[in-house]
This record gives sequence, C-alpha cells and structure tokens, in this order.
Amino acid sequence: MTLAALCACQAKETGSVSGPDSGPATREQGVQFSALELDRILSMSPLPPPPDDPTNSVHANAHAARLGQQLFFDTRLSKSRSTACSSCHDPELAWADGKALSEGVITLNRHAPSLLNVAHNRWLFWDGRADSLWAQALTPLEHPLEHASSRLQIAHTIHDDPDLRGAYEEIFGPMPDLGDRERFPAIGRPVSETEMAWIEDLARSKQDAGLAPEHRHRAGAHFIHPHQRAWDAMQEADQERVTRIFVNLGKSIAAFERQLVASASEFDSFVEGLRTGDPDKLAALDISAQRGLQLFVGRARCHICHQGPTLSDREFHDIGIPPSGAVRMTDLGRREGLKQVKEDPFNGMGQWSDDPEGLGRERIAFLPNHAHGSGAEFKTPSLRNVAVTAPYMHQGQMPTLSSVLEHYSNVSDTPERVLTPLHLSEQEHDDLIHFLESLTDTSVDSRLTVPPSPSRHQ
Amino acid sequence: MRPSRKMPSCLRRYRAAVALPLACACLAWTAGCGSTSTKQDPPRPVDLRPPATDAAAQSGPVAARQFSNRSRAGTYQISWQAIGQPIPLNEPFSLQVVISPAADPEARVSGAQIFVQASMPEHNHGMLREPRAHEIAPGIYRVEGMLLHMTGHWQIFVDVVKDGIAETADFELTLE
Repeated sequence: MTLAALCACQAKETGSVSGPDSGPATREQGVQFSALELDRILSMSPLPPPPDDPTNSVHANAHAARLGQQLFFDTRLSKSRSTACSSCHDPELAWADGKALSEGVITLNRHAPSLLNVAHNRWLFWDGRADSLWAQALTPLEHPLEHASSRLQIAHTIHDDPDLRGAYEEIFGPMPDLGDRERFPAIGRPVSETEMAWIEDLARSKQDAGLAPEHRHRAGAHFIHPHQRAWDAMQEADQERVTRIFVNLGKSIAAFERQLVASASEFDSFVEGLRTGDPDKLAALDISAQRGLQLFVGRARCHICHQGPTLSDREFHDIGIPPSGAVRMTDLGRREGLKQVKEDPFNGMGQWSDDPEGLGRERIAFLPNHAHGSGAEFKTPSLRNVAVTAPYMHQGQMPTLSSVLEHYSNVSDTPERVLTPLHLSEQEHDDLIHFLESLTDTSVDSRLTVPPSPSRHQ
Repeated sequence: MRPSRKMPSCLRRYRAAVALPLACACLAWTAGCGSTSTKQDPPRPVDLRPPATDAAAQSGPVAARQFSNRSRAGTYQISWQAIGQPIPLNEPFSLQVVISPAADPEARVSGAQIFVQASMPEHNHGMLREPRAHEIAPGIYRVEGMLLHMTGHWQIFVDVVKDGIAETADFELTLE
C-alpha cells in the first residue's frame, strides 16, 4: 500500500498542478515522500467522525442538537441579554472571533479558539479545565466576565419561553414549575471559592491602585456574593432541579457543537489521492504545499505535537511564547486548569455525568496532582483551518502564520527540549505556509450557522 | 519482532519499536549481545496470561510486545505488556505487570505496591497521567491510566515497593 501510494504520488506530477508562486509542477519537481513520511501523512487524514461522549447521553440526539443550536445563538442566556456563544464563536469568522483577546463584559484574558471540529478535543479551554464539551459550554454562561448569568436566570428563560420549554421537555421530560419565585429566585448560582478569591484580588488591586476604594466593603471577609446568597436560600432538592436543567442545556449545546465538522480540505483530498492514486485528488496540493507537508512530517518535526487527524496531540506544552502585554494577570495555564478540572462538579466523574465510571473516570481519575512543568503550558491547538483563524496562541500573541513560523525558526530556551531553532529558509517558510493553508475547510452545513426556525421545534 | 497485524502497513498510525533494556542482567537474556554471562540458564518466559478471575484481562488479543528487565538492585524480575493491544499512541491503555524474584522467575511477588512513570528525555517532560496499580492475582498487577501522548523515545520506570524498600526497573521504547 505504501509503495502504491508512493508511486501514485510520483505519477501525478505531470504538470497539472500549479500554485500561486511555484508555477506548474513537473515530474522532476515532484515531492517523493519516504515510507516513514507517508506513514505519518496517512495518519493525518481522513478526520473520522467525532468520538462518542458517553458522559453526555444526548450528544448525538438531533432534538438536543436543535435546542442547543437555538441556545448557542440566544443572547437571553447572558445577564446583559447581549452576549451569546456566537458572540465569540462567529460562524462568519470560522467560529472564532478574529480577536487576540475576546470581549466579554470586559476584555478577557484568553483568545477564543475556533469551534470547528471541537468535539474531537480531549480537553476544553486552553488550560483544559473542562473535560467535555458540555462542561465547557456551562462555564462561560456563569463566568462573571462572559455571559455573567446564573443557572437560575437561564432556567427561568427556558421555562418562560413556550418554544424553548417545549423543545426542552421533548428531550428531557417535564420541567419543574419554576413559577414560585420564593422557591426559585430570579438569579442565583453557587459561586466557587476560586471566583471569590479572584473577586477579592481584583478589588484589592483596584484599591491598591487608588481606583476603587469604595469596593473594599464588597471584598471584605463577610462578603457573600448575591448569587450565592440567593442559592443558599433554596432547598437542596430545588437546587438540584435547577442544576439539572442547567446541565441539560449544556449537553444540548454540546450536541449542537458536535455537528461543527469540516474535514474536506485540500490536504484531505491529497491524502485520499495518495491512497487511491486518483490524479485529480493528488492535484489538490501544489508542489510548494507538498514540500511544506514534507517539512511538517520531516525536518521541522511539527507532527510530533500536531499529530493525527486533528493535527494535535490534544495535550499541553510550553513552547516559550511570552505572555501578552495586554494581560495583567499571570496565566498559569495547565497548572491551574489541572486543579480546576479535578474540582469541577461537572467533570466526567461527577454526579452530573452520564458515564462517571467509564470515560469520565478515564479522563479524571489518572490526572496527576501537579502539572509536570514549571512554566505555563497550554493545549496544542488543532491546525485544521489554522489559516483562517488568526491570531494565534492562547492570548493571540502571534498575528499571522508567518509570525508563528518565525517563532519556531528562532525558538530558544523552551522547556520543551525537542524544540530547537528550525532556521527555515525563505522557501521553506513559504512552503510551510502553503501547506498550512491547504488545511482549510469551513464548509459546515449552512443551516447550522443561524438559529433554527421555531417551527423546527414543533 | 512485532506480531502481524491486519491493517496494511501504511495505515498503521503507531507502533512500538525496539526496546533496549538498560540493565546488563537483561542483556544476558539475549544471544549475541556481547554478554559473557553464561553461568546460569536463561530464565524461562514469564507467564503473563491473566488469571481466570479477571474477565477484562482475557478479552482482546495478546499485546504486541512483552518487556522484561531486572530491577536495579537485582531483587526482582519485572515483566509487563500492554493489555489487549500494542501500545497505542496518545490513547489510554493498561499494563499487566508480573513481579518475580530474580532468583526464581517461576515464583511471584505478591503484596507489593507498583508505581509506573514515563519520561521523554528528549522533550524534558513526562507522562501527563499518574497510573494506578492493583494486584489482580498473586504477583500479577494491573496498571491503569497509562497514556503516551507523543511519538519518540520513552523511558518507562516501574517501581516495586515491598517491605518498605523500593526498587526500580527501567525500560525504553520508541513510539512511532
């Protein structure tokens, strides 16, 4: 098979391939991949369907996906009624926002990644503080700088909207009656100790800077967040009823996001050509992109971290990127994310998981107590659609693909000892860019790029 | 060295390549390695078959490769293999570890605590998981939670703690 693919690759170099800079390819110019390179290339395509998520029993439920689609675009889930998931994950911007740092209530500390093929992730967020798509979807909803909402507000929003409530009950059964505002206040949620510590730090730093001395009383020792105060006033059984609604909504959003799959890039066509010998498929990559691909799986060793069909090892590394000057807080990356995901009540081993003894346990039970590196590590991003999802890195520090390659070309003093300066020539630099551009496919079903029509819930 | 596989070679995404046990005691097992240690018969292969009581361990094909080495202080012979499959790249897997007294490979060491760690010296980092071991039959231990997330050279360390004394056996493998 390998030899057949190799022959097919050579046979197609007949002048039918052209690129913007390289001109027509010829047999003499054709890239000849070694058997090892071919093995590596073939391992990168095709992208299979997203894996099942047994921690979410409705991950493949079409009704849940439709409800999740409605919620994804619904600004009523935010405190200000102006922010939706789609605010930072815009279908028109490859399901990202094109900004270095995303905008919530204020400018946030991280760059929003694209959601294309997101269901292939093992960990969510740059620091992996969520271990499932549904657990991730819940976090921004209650984050005080993102949606800034609360599970009670969101539950009431669903409860009070006949369409949403009907869609919900079709999937999950009757909602509890939330009409009694004594039992079910308008807003409320449990506020984590992490968030309280953060609020106190923020208030303290503002006061130290002379910016907001009046805030001191809000961060005092006896301060109780109003969301927490309302939550504490509820009976435990009612808290569980509300949290169940909240979790079900997260699982529905995850079911929708699982459909955001795009796996028909030029690169995928080329790999199919390697397998079948189809000259039309092999023509999908021009000679420059082929040289870039050879670099990717060869001398540049990009494939070590950007491996497999997602072009990511789905784990965490410190590649020596300085923090953004626009972010004042120290970002500990995986060191903090590791702690958070283990403590997350919505992790795969928790009471809200549908498979706590299976995949949930596999994800959580064997995590170390501490990240192994002394520096801040962040998740290896997928390179699919990388050319249309600038800027790059966890805080958007790199504006272009060229700047990323410059980093790897001159990298020094990284904890990842395998990262040595590539010293890319100008042509190698361009070839790698051309290859990375061949990984683009944003062609998800256009019906997923807008809210579903209400009639679809009926 | 590797068993035959059903998938074509070009479609294999990963494979465990040659392992080179570090300890000289292990080198004595193989002919032609330059060892002059011929005073003792090579030990017979360690029986890694799972006990009948462990249904999960019986499922799936026998793992591709068995690793065996003597602990650094020479007390134990430690053998292990991945359960049910060749060692996969970047996917969880479990090990079955058999501990024998070095002087008596047919015997088993029960009641020990087993800890497994892995490191990538070329990368300056280790495995991003902390596997856990439990004894499933006398002297036979199952280690859950292994995950080798990158291709390249890995060092595997198996610690045996028995009667308050820890000994480590070293293994090396290359994932491609």
